[in-house]
Amino acid sequence: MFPVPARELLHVTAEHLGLVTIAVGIAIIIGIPAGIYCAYHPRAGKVILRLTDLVQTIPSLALFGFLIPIPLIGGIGMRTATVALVLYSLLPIVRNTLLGIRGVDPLVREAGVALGFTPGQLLREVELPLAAPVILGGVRIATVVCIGLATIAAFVGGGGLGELILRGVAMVDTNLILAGALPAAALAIAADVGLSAVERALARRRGASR
Amino acid sequence: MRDLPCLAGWGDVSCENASMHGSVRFRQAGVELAGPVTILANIDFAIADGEAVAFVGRSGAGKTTALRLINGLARASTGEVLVDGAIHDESSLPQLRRRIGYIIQGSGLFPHRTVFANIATVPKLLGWSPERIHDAVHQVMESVQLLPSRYAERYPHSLSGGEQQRVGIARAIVFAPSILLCDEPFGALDPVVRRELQDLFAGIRRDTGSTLVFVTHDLDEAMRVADRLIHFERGRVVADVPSGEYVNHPDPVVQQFVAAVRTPLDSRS
Repeated sequence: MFPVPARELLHVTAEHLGLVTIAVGIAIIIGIPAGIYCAYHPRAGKVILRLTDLVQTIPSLALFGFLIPIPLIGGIGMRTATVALVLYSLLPIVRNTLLGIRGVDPLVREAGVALGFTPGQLLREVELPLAAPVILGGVRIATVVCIGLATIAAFVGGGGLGELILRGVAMVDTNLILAGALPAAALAIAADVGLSAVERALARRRGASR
Repeated sequence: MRDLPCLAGWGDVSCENASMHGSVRFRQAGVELAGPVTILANIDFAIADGEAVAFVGRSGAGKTTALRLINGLARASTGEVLVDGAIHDESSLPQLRRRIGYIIQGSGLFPHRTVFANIATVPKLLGWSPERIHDAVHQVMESVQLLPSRYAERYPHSLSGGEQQRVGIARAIVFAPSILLCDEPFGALDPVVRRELQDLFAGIRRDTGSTLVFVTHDLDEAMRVADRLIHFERGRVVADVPSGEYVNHPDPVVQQFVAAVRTPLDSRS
């Protein structure tokens, strides 16, 4: 009756989550510093935003395809999939970090300067904490998008729930397709709900976004 | 030096900051923006340690910019501004600012920090011990009449405008600054709270004896807190007199200013 053994379903789900976690993790490590840099250097910021924006316009299947012939990062397998997902995750994280920091009340920032914070302290103790809910919003969007896109990773041998979908399409087996698609959708919704809750809790502590 | 048992320090001027002075000297200082726009020109005066001075004048006259030259939030494009005989640059400004109290309209409190953490900001930067910070913050909260047990753990957005401004004052004076800079601190408050805080502030400032520079366009307020008034008009100083002599100053700009304040009062009696 059930199209896939539970063990296999668990395995591909774990693979899927692993792919997303690694990709979003790398995007956070690159994206938040990039966003901070953009906030302080508006001109360079514009270029970086334009570039990350450009990535979003490439159809995802095409991006996976483009990456395959590139040495080191390309080829068939998980690595190519991860690189593509990182590229897609960057824009929301960079943009939200930039917006979050720019959105800090200038009066509050100036109070920090006037009290004797060095630029580094101001960033750590005032700007980043106040921008945190917005930055987390970017991470949430990146995560949700990634969970969906990761299904396509199967096309380049990246594994994950997309494998079931791909196999289901090839075998014209609707049940098999659903066995891949439904868990992916559930994961995306769960991530969205969970991260939204954290976001709201953070914003509340900060006095209704002021 | 940081381990001295002294706490917040007002009323006890023997604290660490007392060894530093609070003198300010403007030497032909000017501020120009791009193009021929002049914000301030040829500002030249000295403020002695412990003096209480008010910068008065109309909006846009340059008072706030002059104030911001003292703690380096604005930089002089001509001339120079010395604090304690030294010119400060980006590398020494954070240190300098940690002994200058700064109170602004709208308080500028950190919305993500509790009242306690807001007030403890500079003591933490100065590396005080947790016990010393705790005692100093509680003492200063008492003196601005905010009950620590009721207010310490609250966040700024849950406070009224007057309460927020009390926290702002507490945050600026908790480390016994040698200089206190105020920019229209009571401008956004209703008249009753405003008067209340003016009196509270004048009392605290008398006890601490720190140098005070107070920007306001409210002449009555200036007289309450300062012994000396410096009147700014279009980026220049037109009067620099003891508060008692201000109303009789011959400069037409001053007379116009005095008349504008007086008229509503006179017509009532």
